[in-house]
Amino acid sequence: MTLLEEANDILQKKALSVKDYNRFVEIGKQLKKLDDEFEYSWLAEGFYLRLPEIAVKEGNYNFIKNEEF
Amino acid sequence: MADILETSTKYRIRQIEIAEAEYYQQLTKVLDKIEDDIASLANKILPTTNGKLIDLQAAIAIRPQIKSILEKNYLSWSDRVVRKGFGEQSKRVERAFKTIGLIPPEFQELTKGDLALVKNLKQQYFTQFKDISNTFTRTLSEKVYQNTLLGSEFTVLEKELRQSINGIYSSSNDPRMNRLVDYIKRNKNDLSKATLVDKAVKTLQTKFGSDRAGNNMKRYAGQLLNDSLRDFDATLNFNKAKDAGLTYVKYYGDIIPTTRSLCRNMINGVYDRSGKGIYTIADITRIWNSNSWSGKKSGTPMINRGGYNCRHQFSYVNPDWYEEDGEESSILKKATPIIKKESKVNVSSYLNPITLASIRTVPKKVSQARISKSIKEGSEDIRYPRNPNGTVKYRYSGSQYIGKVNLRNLSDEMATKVSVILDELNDLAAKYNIPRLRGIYSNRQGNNIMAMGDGVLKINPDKLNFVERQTKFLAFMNKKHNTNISMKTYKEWKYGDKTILWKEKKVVYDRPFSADHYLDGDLDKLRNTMYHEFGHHVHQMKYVTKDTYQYGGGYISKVEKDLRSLTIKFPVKSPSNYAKVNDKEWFAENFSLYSMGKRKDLIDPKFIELIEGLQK
Repeated sequence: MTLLEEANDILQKKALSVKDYNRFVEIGKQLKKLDDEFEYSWLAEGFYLRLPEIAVKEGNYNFIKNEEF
Repeated sequence: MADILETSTKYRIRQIEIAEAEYYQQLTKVLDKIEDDIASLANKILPTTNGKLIDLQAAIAIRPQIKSILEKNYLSWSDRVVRKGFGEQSKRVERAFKTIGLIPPEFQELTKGDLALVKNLKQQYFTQFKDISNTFTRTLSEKVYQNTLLGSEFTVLEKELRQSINGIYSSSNDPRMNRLVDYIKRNKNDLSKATLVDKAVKTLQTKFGSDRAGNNMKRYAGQLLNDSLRDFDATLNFNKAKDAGLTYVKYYGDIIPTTRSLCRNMINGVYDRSGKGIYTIADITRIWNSNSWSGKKSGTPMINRGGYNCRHQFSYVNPDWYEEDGEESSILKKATPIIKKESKVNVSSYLNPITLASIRTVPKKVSQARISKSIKEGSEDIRYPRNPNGTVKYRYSGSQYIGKVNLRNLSDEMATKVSVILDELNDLAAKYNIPRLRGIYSNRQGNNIMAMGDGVLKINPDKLNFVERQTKFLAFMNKKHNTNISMKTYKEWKYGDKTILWKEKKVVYDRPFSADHYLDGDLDKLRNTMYHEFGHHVHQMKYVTKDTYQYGGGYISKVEKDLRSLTIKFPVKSPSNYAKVNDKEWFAENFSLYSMGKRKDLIDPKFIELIEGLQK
C-alpha cells in the first residue's frame, strides 16, 4: 500500500483516534514528490473537518502540535 | 444639477407612476365595457322563464363568446401595456444611464443583450396577462353554467358576472353605491385622496356588502399592471448595472399610509451603516432576508418589491461617486460626464465576479486592512455561538485565529486576490443567511491546501500555484498509468465518459481530481477552492445561532445530518474524484461549481434541491 492509499484509508475510517491523527501527519511529512503532495493536500483538507471527532475523545485539541492543523 | 442620480431616479419612478395611472384608467374603461358587454350578451342569449335561467345548452354555448369579448378588449390593452409601456420604460432606463454618464459608454446604451431581455420580459408578462384572461373566461363561463343548473334568477347571475369582473367597482342599481364606485375609480391613484378613497371602500364593504378582496379580474389585472411595470424596470436596471460593474445601490422611495416597516426604515436610514445611503447588494439582501411581512415575495429584493403597491426602487451606483462627507461627489455635479475607467478595479461581487484583468495588485498591508475590516464585522456577528461568559464556542482547531487575519507568506498578488474574492464570499454569506467569515490565516503547516472551521479560513501559501500543480498531476498520472490523456480531454470530462481510468489498489480515478480542475487560470481555481471552503462554512453554520448551546466538538449541524441522510439513502453523482471522499466533500465540490455557475452538467440535481432549500 502506498502512503497516499494509507492516508486515504485513514480518512475513510468510521472512527478516528489520536493514533490515526499522528500517522496521517507523519505520512504528510514523508511525501516528497509534488504529485503525491497534491492529492495529500486535499485529503488533509478533508481530514481537518474530522478533527473534532478526535477532540471529543481527547477532551481538547492538545494532540495537535506546532500548528500542524 | 445638484444630484443627477436622484433627479434621474425620481424621474424614472415618476414616469412609472404616470404610466401606471394611465394604463389603470384604460383598464377601468376596458373592464367596464367587458362588464356591460358580457351582461348584455348573457341577457340576450340565455333564455329565462319567470326571470329564471333554464337552458343548459345555451349556458355552454356562451363560453366562446365570453372568450372573444375578453380577448378583443382586455388582451388589446395588455398588448399595449407590454409593447408601449415597457418600450417607453426601457428608453427611460437607457436615458438614466446616459445621464449619469460615469460608466463606460458601451454600457450606457441598450445592448443586444438588453434588447433580448426586453423582448423576453415582454413575452413573459404578456403571458401572465393572458393567463388572467383565460382564468376569467373559465370563471365567468362556470358562473353561467352553475346558475343555469340551479335555475337561479338572471339578476343573480348578472350581479355575479359583474362582480367577477370589477369586484366592488361593478355597476349596480343603487345610485349611492355607484357614486362611491365612481369616486374610487376617479381618485384611486391620487395620493392626496388616499384616506378618502379608503373610507369610500370601507363604506362599500360595510354598507353595501361589497367584497374588496374578492377574486375579481380588476384586482388581478391591476396588480399585474403594478407589478409588471416596476418589475420590468427593476430587471432591466439590474441587468444594465451588472454589465456596467455597479454593485452598490441607493434606495429611493416615499412614505404613504401603507408603507411597510422595512421601507420606512430604509427611508429613515435605520440600516445605513455607510452614512451615505449606499448599500451593497449583499447588504440589501441581508436586510431583506432578516425581515418578514405578509405578502412578501421570495427572490431577490433587487427585482421583487415588498408586495402590492410597494414603491421602492434602487439606483445602482459606484461608491467612488460619493465624498467622505456624505455629499454626492463633485463629479456628479459637472455638466460633462467623466468616465472613471478604473471604477471596477479590485471590486468584486458574487453576481459580478472580478476578472484577472481588473485586479490590480496592492501592497499586502492594504489587503490586510481590507480583509480585517470584513473579519471584524464577521466576528461581531451575534449568530456565532458564545459561552455564557462571552467567550466564543468553537468546534474545530485553530480557534486562536477567530477574529484575526494573518497573511504571512502570502505574496502581495495572492493577498490581493484573496481580499477581493472575500467580497464574493460575503455576498454568499448573505445569500445563505449565515455569518461572514471571522478569521483568515495563512499557514504552511499540515500540508492541507485550505481548511474551514468555525468561520475561520486557513490558507496554505505553498499550494496556490493551481495551474502548475494540475499540470504536474496529470503528467504524473499519465506516466504512472501509461496513458496519454491531454489536458483538454481531462477538463472536458463528463458523466458517461470512459476516457479516464486510473486504477490503483484501493482507489479508482475515473474523473478529474477536484472541481477546480475543470476551470482555467489560477484566479478561477483559487476562487473555486475558496468557494469549496465556503461550502463547508454553509453546512457548518446554516441554522446555527447564538442559542445553539450544543455547538462544540461533538456538534453535528442540521445540514450535516440532512446531508448524511441524503447520501446514505440515495446514490449521488460526484463531479470530481475528491467529491467521492465523503458527504461533506461531495457538498463542497458541488457547491463550488454551483456557485460559480460552471459545469452545470456535473452538479448533482439532489445537491441543487438541497442547496436551493438553504437559500430561504
